[in-house]
Amino acid sequence: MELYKPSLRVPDTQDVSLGVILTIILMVAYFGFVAMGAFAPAVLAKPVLSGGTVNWAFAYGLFVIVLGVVLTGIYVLAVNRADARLSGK
Amino acid sequence: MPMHRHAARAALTVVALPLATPAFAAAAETSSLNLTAISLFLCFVLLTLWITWKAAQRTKSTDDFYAAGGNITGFQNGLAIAGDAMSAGAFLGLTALVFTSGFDGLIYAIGYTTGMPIVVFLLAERLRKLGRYTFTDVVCSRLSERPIRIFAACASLVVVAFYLIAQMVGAGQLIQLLFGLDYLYAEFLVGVLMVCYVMFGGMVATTWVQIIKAGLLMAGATLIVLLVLVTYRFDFGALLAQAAAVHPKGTAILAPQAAPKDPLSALSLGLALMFGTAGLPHILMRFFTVPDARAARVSVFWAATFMNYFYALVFVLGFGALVMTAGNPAYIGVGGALRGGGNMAAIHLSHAVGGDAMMGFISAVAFATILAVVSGLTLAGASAVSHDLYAGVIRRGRLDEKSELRISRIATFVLGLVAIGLGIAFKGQNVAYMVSLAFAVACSSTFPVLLLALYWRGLTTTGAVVGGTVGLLSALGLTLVGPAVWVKVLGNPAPLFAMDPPTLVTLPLAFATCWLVSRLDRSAQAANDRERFDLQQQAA
Repeated sequence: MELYKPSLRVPDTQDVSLGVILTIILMVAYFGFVAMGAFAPAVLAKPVLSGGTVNWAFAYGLFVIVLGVVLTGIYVLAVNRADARLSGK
Repeated sequence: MPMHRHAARAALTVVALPLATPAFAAAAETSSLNLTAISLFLCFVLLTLWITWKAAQRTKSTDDFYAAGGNITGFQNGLAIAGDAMSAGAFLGLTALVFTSGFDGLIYAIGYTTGMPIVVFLLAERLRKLGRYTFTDVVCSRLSERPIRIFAACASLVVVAFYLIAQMVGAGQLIQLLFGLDYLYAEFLVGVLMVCYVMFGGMVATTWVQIIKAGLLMAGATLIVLLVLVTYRFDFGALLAQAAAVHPKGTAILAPQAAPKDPLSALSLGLALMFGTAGLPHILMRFFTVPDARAARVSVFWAATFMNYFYALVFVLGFGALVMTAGNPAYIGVGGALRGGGNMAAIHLSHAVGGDAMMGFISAVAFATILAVVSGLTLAGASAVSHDLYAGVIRRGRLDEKSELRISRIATFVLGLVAIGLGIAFKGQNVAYMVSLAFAVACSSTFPVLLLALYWRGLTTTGAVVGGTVGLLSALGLTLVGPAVWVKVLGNPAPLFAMDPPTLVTLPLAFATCWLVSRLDRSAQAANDRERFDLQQQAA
């Protein structure tokens, strides 16, 4: 990313790899959740705080929802910055 | 004016109820008329229709339709995108799913939240660079137009049909519950309203209308959530404990139940929910209608935030509905089933926490949202028939606007009839589940073709059409012989294909067919297709 290349293709390839990386992160998080539900439901059914009713299923589910927003934010910030840098040059 | 008809029907109900005519006899025992809720409902629906009408009057061009004249902020456009995606079907259906099966319902809600980020990461920027916003436009920009248009129109129609079922069932049950009408009459009423709405409004789901609806839906849902949480002093754990205490399955509802029994279906559902959004024909259109690229990206961030917030509310709505309606004969019928149909959990919850006024308000917001979504879908379906199939393929573009408009009206009317028929056939099915079937078809047909068209140089016209069609037909066929249709609609004892939805088979099948056929394609068209991809890349 630090390397300066005059080609117009640079920001494009950066977008692609960033998008693919973020997709993979979200997929791993989400399918991890689905797979745990399918193959290790007992783990998800354990309470987050001992004695409480809120279990890891809820915590993990909420984590996936928040992660979606955070990753989208990261993507938008990164692409907007790359855009600004490019138009500044 | 459709609303006069509507009001007349309501008035008729009021008059007819004491007489207990046969048509309303069944209704009288399912729910008594609630005048406060009904009048508030009518006020709010009339208000939204008036706003829609006003907005439609000021909408002169397609630019106005999507961009609201171009003076719209990223935040506002984000709300509009969220408004397109957050159907009342999701609101009613997801709450109901949690009401009946606990955490298993939340798996749907969580899955829906992953859809929009995927669209942003993989598609949005590329679409913006190409300057194309619909599936057909993107794919036609590098492949041969006619075969792609035929495939896109067919895929759109199938997805629209499944999506329509969900909205029709939700709207029908809502009208049935509120006005005490028989479900059959309610379906016809919704169908007639929907056709009127599209015919006289034409472009109804303008950006402003979507903004208002998204705002109202989120405000209403937030209010219910706050009222539920106040009862439990904002202790979500206490709410869950109470939910487990009143549900026959006890604490089992606080963790996944279906997934351990059928892991393949669980993974398949996950795939459909995550990648289905990217294949929906009506979702991509509102992207990047704001002045510049920066605002466009900000708007998708807001869209993802609003949608994920909305789906997170289902955590409380679903378990709240379970607790607040438990054991109350006003909400639960004799057999333990919800009055007014299985999708009405959210509506009963609104009554339980906020009385008649709240119920009227929430019903109106839900109904107005359904009407907007249904109209948007009908328009998408009608334009697939009139623009893609008729004008583009049958007449090969030699067609005046007048006859294209006529075909579009006929298509709207036929779609209305089809929607009524489907709504009746799928009565009683959960609407969030029906939406997941639409997602399964979308992510097995249009999504693979769209993704490969954007990223893979080797994709050829034949490969795209054959692969997409194989995905579409297999997803449709396996859904028809699966639990949703083969068992629940046709009444057979066991499904021929148990995996539900069939995405785990059909999505890889579609990708593999696209790839294989494209690789074997040695035609002149194929060489041209690959060359046009390179030209696009250089231009971008």
